[in-house]
Amino acid sequence: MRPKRVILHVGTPKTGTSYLQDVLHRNKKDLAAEGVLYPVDRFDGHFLAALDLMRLPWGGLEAEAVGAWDRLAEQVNAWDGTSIISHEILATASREQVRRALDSLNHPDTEIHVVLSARDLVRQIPAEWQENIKHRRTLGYGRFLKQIRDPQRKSRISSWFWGVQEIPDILDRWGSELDPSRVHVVTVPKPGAPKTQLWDRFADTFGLTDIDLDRHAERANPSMGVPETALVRRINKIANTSVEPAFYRPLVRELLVHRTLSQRSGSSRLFLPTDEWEWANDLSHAWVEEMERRGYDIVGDLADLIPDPAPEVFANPDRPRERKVNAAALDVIRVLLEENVRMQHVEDDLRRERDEARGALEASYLRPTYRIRKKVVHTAEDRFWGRGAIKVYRRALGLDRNSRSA
Amino acid sequence: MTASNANDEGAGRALAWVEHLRSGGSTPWIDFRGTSSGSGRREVPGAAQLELARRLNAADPVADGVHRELVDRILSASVPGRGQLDLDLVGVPQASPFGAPPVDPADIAPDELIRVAVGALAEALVRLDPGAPRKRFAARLRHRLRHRRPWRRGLRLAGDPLAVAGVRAALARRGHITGRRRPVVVVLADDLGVMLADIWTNRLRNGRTAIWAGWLEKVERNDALPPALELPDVLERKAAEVGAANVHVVVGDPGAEIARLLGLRMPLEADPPRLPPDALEVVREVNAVLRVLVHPERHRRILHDLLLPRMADGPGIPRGVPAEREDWVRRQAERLRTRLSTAGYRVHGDLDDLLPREGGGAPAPSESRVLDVALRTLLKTKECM
Repeated sequence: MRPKRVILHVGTPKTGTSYLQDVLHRNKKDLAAEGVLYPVDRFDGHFLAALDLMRLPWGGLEAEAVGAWDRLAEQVNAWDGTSIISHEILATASREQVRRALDSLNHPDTEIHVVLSARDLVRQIPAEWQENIKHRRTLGYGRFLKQIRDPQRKSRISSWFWGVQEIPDILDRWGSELDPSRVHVVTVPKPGAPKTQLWDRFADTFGLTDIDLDRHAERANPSMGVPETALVRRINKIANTSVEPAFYRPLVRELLVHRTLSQRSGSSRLFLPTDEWEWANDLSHAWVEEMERRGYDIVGDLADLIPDPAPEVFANPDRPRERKVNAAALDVIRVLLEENVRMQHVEDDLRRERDEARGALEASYLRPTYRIRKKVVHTAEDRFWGRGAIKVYRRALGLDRNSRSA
Repeated sequence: MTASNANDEGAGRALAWVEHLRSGGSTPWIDFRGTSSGSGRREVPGAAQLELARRLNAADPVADGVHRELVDRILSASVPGRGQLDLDLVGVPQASPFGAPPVDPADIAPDELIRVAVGALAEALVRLDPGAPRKRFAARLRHRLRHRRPWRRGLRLAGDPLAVAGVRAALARRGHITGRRRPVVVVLADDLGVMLADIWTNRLRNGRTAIWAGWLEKVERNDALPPALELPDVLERKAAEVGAANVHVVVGDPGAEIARLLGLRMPLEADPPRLPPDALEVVREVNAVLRVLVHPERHRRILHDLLLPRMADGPGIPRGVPAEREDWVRRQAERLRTRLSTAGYRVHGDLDDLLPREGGGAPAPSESRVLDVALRTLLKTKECM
């Protein structure tokens, strides 16, 4: 039996969190059999709990989050073994919200571990801008960089960015009440490392190395290249006002970004211009020094957080090569046409089903009993007592129209 | 002075300022000279919470136990939504060089203070909500019997939702209960710009969060008025229910005409329950927090029973139509006027009044006024604490 403890994985975004959460979700029965609880209904099931904890509006989804954190805490508190809570936006919780989260999980009586997965800042900055674009924003890369470099951090963009990405500050908020040995930093390996390395580090941190898990995940949060991101930004500019969030999610984010543009190969990758690279490099060194000083449990290597050298050529997504953007746009048109054809088929099927149902209904109208009932109703409608009787009958069946008088 | 002494002094001053605010003080941080023994940055709330508490004290210097409780709640408030996190006070040593730079609380932008105020207000309202009233069957039956006058003339209202609410409230104040005999339908109409603002206001009154300009832009993009304002269609439906002879359109103040139709001696004073734009902005912001705090039914109850009655302390003026939407609104008003003038229903008032008036409506809310309203409303929650 595993000891009672809670593992809180609080971020950061773009560090393989979708993959991790998908594996945990797909294996939750096997995990439960081994004494590990991952209490979710879907792979990102703790998203709503995070929205509730942080009182965070999210395009209308927050209405589904009412009470979600307390329900999650209840499930976790009722479990005797290890419980895992994982969502990357938890990184931006304030001190007060962290206090509420820890209190709800019975801190300090329960053994609580905080896990933060971290990737080098030079890869995180463009990834965060891309996330902004994938969430309907239209600001250019240059403006984004200017905002996050503003030391005052007053804009919503920069306060969010640093809230979810400034590793020492996140750990200060989440880990200040915990022993440093219970604060774990999982570093994301450098490009080119074995693909299983990140999972191995997660498994080691979560104590899952002895459990045989199906690690084939359906979910990931893949990145786009420079022309593809520039294209989505342009799509946002012209379609934001007419495509509502509920349709944007499946059509743009899911169909166009995840299933089409992220799958294209050969495009220039997003990176940092030289000035910003040097600034991010200095910052990364300061963060690494701070983490070494604090004595956290480092899973992996802090050197993973030191950026690789900048490439010689910087592909600016604010001035992309139009030929490449056009090629990406043609892919988008093709996919939208295919999707439209698929939906036409669905519509045809539904229309056929409707016609069949209508035919069956009309056939039932031709029965003699129906014609007798119809005559009775028509006769009754012409008489005072008949209208009253129909009203009573309809009310009894719950069919009365809800017309409100003043 | 050594660095250590300076650190202790800064932390002591911050802790003393927190105590000063908890005791009802309103001295700005930069002018505050007090000190307290002990240290610990963790005990000092965020600068935005502290500045809001200071402004609350400045707005209401009565520092009794209830006020102190309210200040304590603000100081420990979990700030909702996106924005700056846990700002430290300038002049207080930071435990870590990371995080946002420390600030003078007086320099915090009003939108950050509004975020704190609205969060605290939403939490206070949830605490004040006594829950849905439970009526027993006998009480429900008694209520229904007491409020039935089937022999009296029936009245069904449609059109501008705030005008409808105003008439219903006026009838309730008069103690008049409508009946079921020969029901008459009155469709309430006004300047189309006002009616659109009223529809949007009514949505806020029911928990929605759209901003006025964005909502109106969407309405124009769909090139269709909200169903409640497609008055000819509303009239047609109502005529099918009660007969065309019993359907009336009232343009402008409906008080006199409705009194006449119901056989009342005095005209009704049917003021639509409008709110000033700054108050509406507070309602909109509170809605955004309540949406994640409570379920829709409770949300509406909190709005109608607790928040809206505390906000109706200023003249309610509907929002003005932005210049870029005026042409579209005018075209729609002209279309309505033409259709209504040829539809053959009884019209009271002048159909030309459907056209938007030049320069009508209230200006956009300002952040500083919105913050004032939020603070005033927060102070009013003390009455029930």
